[in-house]
Amino acid sequence: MQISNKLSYESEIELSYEKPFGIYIHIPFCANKCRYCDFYSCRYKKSLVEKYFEALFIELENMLSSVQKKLIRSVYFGGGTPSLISSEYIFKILKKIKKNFNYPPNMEITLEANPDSLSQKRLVNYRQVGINRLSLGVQSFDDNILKFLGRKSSSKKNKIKIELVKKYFNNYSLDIIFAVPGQTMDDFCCDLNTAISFSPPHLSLYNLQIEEGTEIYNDLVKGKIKKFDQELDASMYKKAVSLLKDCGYKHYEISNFAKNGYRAIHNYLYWDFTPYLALGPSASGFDGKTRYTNTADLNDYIDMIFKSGFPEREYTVLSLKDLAAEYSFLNLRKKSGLSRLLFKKQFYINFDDLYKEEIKKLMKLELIYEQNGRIFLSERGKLLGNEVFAHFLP
Amino acid sequence: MQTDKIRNFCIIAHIDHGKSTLADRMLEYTNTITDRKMKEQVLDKMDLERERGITIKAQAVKIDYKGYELNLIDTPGHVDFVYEVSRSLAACEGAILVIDAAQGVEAQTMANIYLALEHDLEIIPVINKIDLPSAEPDRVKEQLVDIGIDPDEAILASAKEGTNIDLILDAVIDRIPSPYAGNEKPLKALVFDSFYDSYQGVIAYVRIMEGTVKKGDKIMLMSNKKTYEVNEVGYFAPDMTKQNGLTSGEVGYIISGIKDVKNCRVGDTITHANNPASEPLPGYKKVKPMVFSGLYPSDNADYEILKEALEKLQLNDASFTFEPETSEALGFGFRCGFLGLLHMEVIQERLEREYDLDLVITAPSVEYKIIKNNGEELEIENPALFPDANEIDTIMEPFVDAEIHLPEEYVGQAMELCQDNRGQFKDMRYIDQDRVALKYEMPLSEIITDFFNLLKSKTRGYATLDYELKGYKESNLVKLDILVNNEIVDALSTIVHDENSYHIGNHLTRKLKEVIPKHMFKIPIQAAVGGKIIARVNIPALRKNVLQKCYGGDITRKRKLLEKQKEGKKRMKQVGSVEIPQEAFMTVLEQNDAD
Repeated sequence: MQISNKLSYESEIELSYEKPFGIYIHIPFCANKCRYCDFYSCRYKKSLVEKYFEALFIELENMLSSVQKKLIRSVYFGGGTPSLISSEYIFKILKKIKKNFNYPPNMEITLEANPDSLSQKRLVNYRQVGINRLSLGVQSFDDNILKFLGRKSSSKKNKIKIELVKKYFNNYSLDIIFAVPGQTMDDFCCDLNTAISFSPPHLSLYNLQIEEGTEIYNDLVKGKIKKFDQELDASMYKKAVSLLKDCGYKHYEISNFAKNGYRAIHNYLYWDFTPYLALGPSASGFDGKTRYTNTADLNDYIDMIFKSGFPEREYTVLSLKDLAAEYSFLNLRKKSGLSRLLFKKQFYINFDDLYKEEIKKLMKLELIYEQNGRIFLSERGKLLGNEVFAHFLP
Repeated sequence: MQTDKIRNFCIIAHIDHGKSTLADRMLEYTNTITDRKMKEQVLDKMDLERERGITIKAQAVKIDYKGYELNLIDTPGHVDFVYEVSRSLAACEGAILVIDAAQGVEAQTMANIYLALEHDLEIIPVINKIDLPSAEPDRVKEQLVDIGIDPDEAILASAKEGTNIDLILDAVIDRIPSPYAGNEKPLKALVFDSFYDSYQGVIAYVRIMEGTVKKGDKIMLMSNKKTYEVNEVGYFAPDMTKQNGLTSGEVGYIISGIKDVKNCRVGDTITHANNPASEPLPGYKKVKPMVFSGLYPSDNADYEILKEALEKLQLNDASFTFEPETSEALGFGFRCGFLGLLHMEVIQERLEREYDLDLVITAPSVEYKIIKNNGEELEIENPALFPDANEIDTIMEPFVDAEIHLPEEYVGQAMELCQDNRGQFKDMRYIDQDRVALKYEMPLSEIITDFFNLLKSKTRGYATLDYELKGYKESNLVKLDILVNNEIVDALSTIVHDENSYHIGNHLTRKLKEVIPKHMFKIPIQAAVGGKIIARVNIPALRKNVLQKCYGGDITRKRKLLEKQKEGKKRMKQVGSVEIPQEAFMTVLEQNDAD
């Protein structure tokens, strides 16, 4: 088998999942495109959904040979807008997963949901087919911000839907976006306090990334909007960190906050260097050595699956240095930091053998600190994570 | 060939008026080039020339037509190469003056006419591009009257469509005088261009003014008295075609084992070593570079490659100079001299394109003459090397006569721009009803910043510029230093007029704030004159740079982002503890930005 260092196509590269892993399933449908979103998605169409799930089943079936009966840790339906999909499809795919894998009792099964698309009936159905965690794309409780982001929901609707979700799900998360052009500190505090008032077990906070090709990006280029002030972005983030801490949330990862016992098991896989299997267009997976991303285009995905049983994939085979770098910067995102001992267990090499100079430099800049054999981002380091992470790249 | 059957001519035109296209059509029409697949604009050989639509080096082609030998000498089409143009014209008896039927007479048209008249050339006016819907040949004819050319002599043509090419060729035979016949006299061959070939050495483009030359002759270059033996003579048809000899009036090439174009400069006279002409042809001068800038490899490890590349380029371009220099900020590099901004850009582009070099280029400067208090005289083209202000008695800088042609409605803006650039108004006159010629005396240093770009943008692209070096004049100049994080960055120093120093200092510091990325600490950027701080801005410390979003486990995407960040840093120059991007060193250029 020929393995090029970086990119290669199709089933040339055999994935091998040796450790327990999570499963990510991408649902590429949306009712409409948000103005900040640069992910691949297509308009919801019933006939296309039918076809898509047929393909998804084939992809899963064909991957089974190498992973069947193995232990999985979580299942995550991401999107797109998975909450557009009827629970029957979810049921069928979960049934197939449960039949073919070993899984712990109460395994976390998350579905990303847009409040706009949720109804009581839908929630009951999701609950029934096995979804036990919802990740709610609330983004904001400010109608101006929602409008700017191109979200169809309103502040009022968001609040009603959260109350509804609480009736059926005790484990759910609210996604909040901040650092939106025009947003003031007061606006943000208001948003955050509203979110906290529901006492959600989990919160994810993202500052708005203006990605090339999105409508908001175009506005920026045309000068219709201004880049968000970095200072204010930092202040908002710091404010959130301290407020959420006071309210009993653990800041367990740069962007994630949870009450005891409600850490997102699936999301944590990513930071923890645990493998995950990817299904669906544009889904990304990792078997512990190789990262891969399925073709983003839904039609290509479906065509390829029907033709060859596998979607076209871009593989990145990671060298030891690549793996060590990713391991390091991903682990540093966690509250528990990077353990020298676990690093050695993972790679059979001393952390210092690779990064002695970098660590010295970063410590001098007070971006990281060390305690009991673990390395952590300092408070300043959390704000300047990318500056730290780049140091580990080969 | 009998001298009376020879016609030597060139084509002169403002840029884009269709000079090269006309040359191509003449070659096609006369079957000089039979291959129908000939590349457009055969005479512009370099890729770069073809892309930019200008001729950088002169070319010569022999055309056989109706029993005559027509030698077409294509001249460089840019003000930077005005001396080369003058030598090419000196090799001719006549010139085809191409004027765009839609654009009319432009600044360079005028400059070219003056040059042609200076050389006593017979001018054949050709109004080109009559196929264009916007063509106004009658208006152009009126302009011709104004500039003293008989409009009845003008030939209307479309080089693009091949209209009236025969009329032009006939006019060349009928109107241009044949060259002087002087085969019996001692050899005088004018070198009007030369290039270096790695197999044959220097190939000199010559016009035999008097005498004859053949293979085996012992020749001498009259400027340096160096002697060589002729290995080969011939003409371009358009490829090099060997001949037994060249006689009086003919145009061709001489190969004689010269190893360096520096020894065979444009304008020099070749004569016989054992029967030399009593004096050389008039007009020879060693062209001096007028614009200087520092060229540094982005990666210091590329120094030797840059050096070799510069040496190779110089083999073919005697007007380009370079010498090693060191900058505290940029390390080891070269101070290079160019004829003008275009020449500079062309060389930079060739270095980057042909030698795959990533360069940091400092803002261009002119050569200043300084008289120190102790009477010592200095010529300095690197602002970083200026002596202390208290040691200087007088500073002189080069001035040019600039001629700008533009539609009347933009005169106000153009005059304002000239004044902002220390221009002294000299003259204004109408070329026709709505086009105006403005004359200003200006410091060259102002022209080589982005004056031309601003002029173009203020006149919506309608203005054309031509300038000629006038001489040195005293100016009240000061050295403006830039301090980044409290350290002077020598490569950012610039010479400015005292009156403008505050404005430029302010502008530069603000501009640098935009291009230097935030660091993990606050960076003061200051402008100073003679140790006194005149402007200051701070680049605030980087406060937040962390990717929060997770992209559904797409770690590769995250990583690519980090790689891009790291790659960006590699391409910067580390000055003290600050990383400065390459473009910062060129911001000095944009000091006239409207702000």
